[in-house]
This record gives sequence, structure tokens and C-alpha cells, in this order.
Amino acid sequence: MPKPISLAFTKATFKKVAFFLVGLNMLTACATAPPSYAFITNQLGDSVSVIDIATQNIVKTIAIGEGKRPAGIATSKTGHQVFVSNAEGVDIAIIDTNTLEVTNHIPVGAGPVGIASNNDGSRVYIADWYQNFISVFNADTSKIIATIPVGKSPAGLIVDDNQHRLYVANRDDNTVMIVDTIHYGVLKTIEVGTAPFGIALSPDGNFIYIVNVGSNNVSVIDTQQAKVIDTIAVGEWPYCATISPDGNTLYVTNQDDSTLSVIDTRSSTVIDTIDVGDSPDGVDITEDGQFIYVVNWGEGTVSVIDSTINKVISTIETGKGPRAFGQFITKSQ
Amino acid sequence: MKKFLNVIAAMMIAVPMLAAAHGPTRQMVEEKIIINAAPDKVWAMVKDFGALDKWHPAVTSTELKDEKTRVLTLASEGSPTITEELVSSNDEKMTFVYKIIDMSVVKTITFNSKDTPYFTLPVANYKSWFSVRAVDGGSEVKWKGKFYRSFMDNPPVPEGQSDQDATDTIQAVYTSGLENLKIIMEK
Repeated sequence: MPKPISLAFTKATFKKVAFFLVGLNMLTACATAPPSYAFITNQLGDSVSVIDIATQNIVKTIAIGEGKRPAGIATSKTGHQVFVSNAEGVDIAIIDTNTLEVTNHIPVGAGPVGIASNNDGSRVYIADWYQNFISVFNADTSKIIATIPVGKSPAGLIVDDNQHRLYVANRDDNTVMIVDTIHYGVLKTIEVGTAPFGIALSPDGNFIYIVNVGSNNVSVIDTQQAKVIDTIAVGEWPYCATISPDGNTLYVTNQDDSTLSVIDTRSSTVIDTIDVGDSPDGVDITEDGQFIYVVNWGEGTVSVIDSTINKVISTIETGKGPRAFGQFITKSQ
Repeated sequence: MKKFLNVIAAMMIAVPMLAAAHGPTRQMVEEKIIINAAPDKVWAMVKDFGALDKWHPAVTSTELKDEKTRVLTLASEGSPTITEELVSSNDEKMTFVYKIIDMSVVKTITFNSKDTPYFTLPVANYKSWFSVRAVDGGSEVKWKGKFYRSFMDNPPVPEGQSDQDATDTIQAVYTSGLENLKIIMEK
């Protein structure tokens, strides 16, 4: 249940101070900051493959636990932890980006799949597929501090720290919810296409892009008006999306076409369709916008695309059944 | 009391969604077989959407409702049916895609005080890819399916309705079909 506002505010302020102090400490303690990594959850392999973005090689495969079925992943902009949702393990696993070790498992609801973090990695939101709520995890105290009831089978999540908002795609309600991350209440429910799953947020926070698995399209939502302003047709059984750092290009995985749709967000048109591996699922983009990582669930690989030529330049083998549902590439620090 | 009403409300909402909802993990099965026969001959046999009973041992009849819709009747007890739709077919690439659009309910049990239907196959949102290609020694036939288990609620899962059960069932459908296809084509 949400905490009273006054208490939450006091705690949040205190946390900010504490975080600042820890941050100062880290500047002196860590001689080398971790490089930019892609964390790929192998749902059928019960592991996470870690790819070094600089070399495009797997540097480690982290075991998550037999039968845990890791599906979702949440990185943060400045934090040093990544969070993995274990669909069958009914918990989340926390990975330290310095040591690449699992440091903790936190039990959550019955069906954790969608997961997202705020910018500094202090708050993590976990969607529960079966129990229709969002768990709010405080990474500083390692506690679930609230549960927010949402629509049926919540899937994709994304956080906008600037607007203090969390966006939730309710897969079996065909809706998107805007959740206030200060008071943990639902501000608005918006009808979208059929079976909304993945979400991308424009860097300026003005638009969200909702991937509708069942209607083969993307709903564009103006976040200020809180309404759908456009619908863009994509390929068969689309799943996830990511957006370029300048906000001009949206990339959508089409699972049953084994392609990636490249969309110009200014004109809302598909400008290219790139063949990738079998059954692409998760997708993310590097900090500089040059490389797009497409996770091919059907064949256990990642297709790396150079966005300057829109071509696959390498294919990296991962574990079995990779999903990487969420933002899975960490920023270099 | 309020909690009780919420539960009732949740149950009422849940009922119409039975068909659309599913478990959280999409499953996949892929089977291949090498057949000592010319690819065009194998393709001619398998591409006929209205003739699965000619080579699949579990299918007793194939009824074409229209060009793109077939109803399969299976050999098992109670003659359960599966209705499938042809999504696309490509002669040049020797590949076709189809999906299940309906299945008969074999039985209904009460599980966790809810009516739980058992369908002909324990799968939902099933889509399949079938292809033939030339290889040394004849043809390679590939049959691939992607689907969810049909039981949509959180565990515990009733007997025979797990992800593993769904995967095992489809695996058996593919293996038995391809093995029989090989026997027929190599005669």
C-alpha cells in the first residue's frame, strides 16, 4: 500500500542525500567504471548473457537459477545494478554491473514479466502478469514499498523521471495506464490497439509508442494530451520497441516476420524493414545511437544492426530462448 | 465483505477473456526430417491444405470450409477437432504458414473452483511454419510452431496443461507426422 505522502517525501529527501554521499564515495573507490553492456535474459536457458558493447563479445554468462525463466530486464541510466524479472521464479534477481554477479533475489508477485527502473536505479517497477498490479521496489532498502493495482496482464513498463510517471501496457485490457510515481495512483487510462506489450518513450518525454501484438501496429500517444494521436502499421506479431537518442527513429521487432521495422517518428512512416534472426523479441539501442541490438528468441542470437546503414553487421550467440524484454543496454559511465 | 465483492467482480471480468488470455511464456517447437524424395514431390503433397489426413497418422479427415480454412478431425477418443487457417503459402520458397483458430473442448474440469476447459491440444495462439528445401539426399522438411499453453492462470497448473505438456504434445504431433510423411514419400 502507498505510504502517506509526507512520510514518502521525507524518506525520498533523505535517500537523495544518502545517494549523493554514496556517489561521492564511488568516484574515489572505483578506479574503472564498468563499460557499456547488453544484458540478455535467456528465458529457456535460465541465465543472463552479458555482451560488452565495445567488442560485441559475450564476456560472461550469469546463471540465474534452474527453472527461474528470466524474461524481463531493467537497466538504469546512472545506477550500478540491473534487475531481472524471473517469470517462473516469482522473484527478481539483482546483478551488480561491476562484478557481474547476482547479489540478491527479491520475491514478488506470481507472474513478474515487465520491469523498469528510474534513472538512478533506486526505484524498480515490476508488472505482475497474473495478479494485475505493479510492485514498487526500493533498491536502497531492498524492500517492496508499494503495490499499484492496474489493468489485466500488465506487460511493458517505462519510467519518465522528469514527469514522475510510469507508463503501463495492459496486455489483456488493450489499454495503457499513466501512473503517478509520487503517489502511486493511476492518473489516466488510454485505449490502444489489441494486446499492447512493448513500450518506448521519446527522449523529451512527449510521446510514448505502444506495440500492439494482436493488431500489428504501434499506437503513438501524446503524453501531455494523454491520447492516441497516430497508429502506425508494422509487421506480423510485433513485440517490442526502442527509440534513437534524438527521438527521430523508432525500431520495432516483428516476431512472426523475423524483421525489424524502422520508423521515422516525424512522419509516422515505416522507412525500412530489416531482416533479423528468428522471432525477434527485445530490442535496445546503444547510447550513441549507432547500434541496435535485436534479441532473437527463436534461435538464441542477438542481431547487431548498424543504424547508419540499417544492416545486420554481426550476430552474437546467446543462451536458449533469449527475451531481454525491457531496456537492457547500460550506459558507459 | 469488500474483498469478497472484489473477488466476485474479478471472476466476472475473467470469464469473457478466456479465449484471449494465456500464460506468460511463448513456447516453440521445431522438428526436421530428411526425406529421400524430390523436393517438388514432397511439396506437392504437403502444400495441399485440404489433405493432411493423407499423411498425418493422427488425422482421420480434413474438411475444407473454404480455400483457407480446414477442420481436422483426430483419431483419438471423441473425435476432437481443430480448425486451422492458412495464413500464407509460397510455391517458390516451398513454405506455408497456418494458425489454429478454433478447437473443440474435450472436457471441462473444475480447478480452483473455476471451469477449466481442456482443448484438443493444450495450446493457445498457435501459429506454425512448414517448409521444404532441397538437400543432399532429397528434401529437408521443417515444421515449426510457436504457441502459449492454453491455461491462463498462475500456477498451480492443472494436469496436462503446463508449458511442458503443451510443448510435448506439439512435439509428438510433428514427430509422428514427419515420420509418416517420410515413410509415404519413400515408398
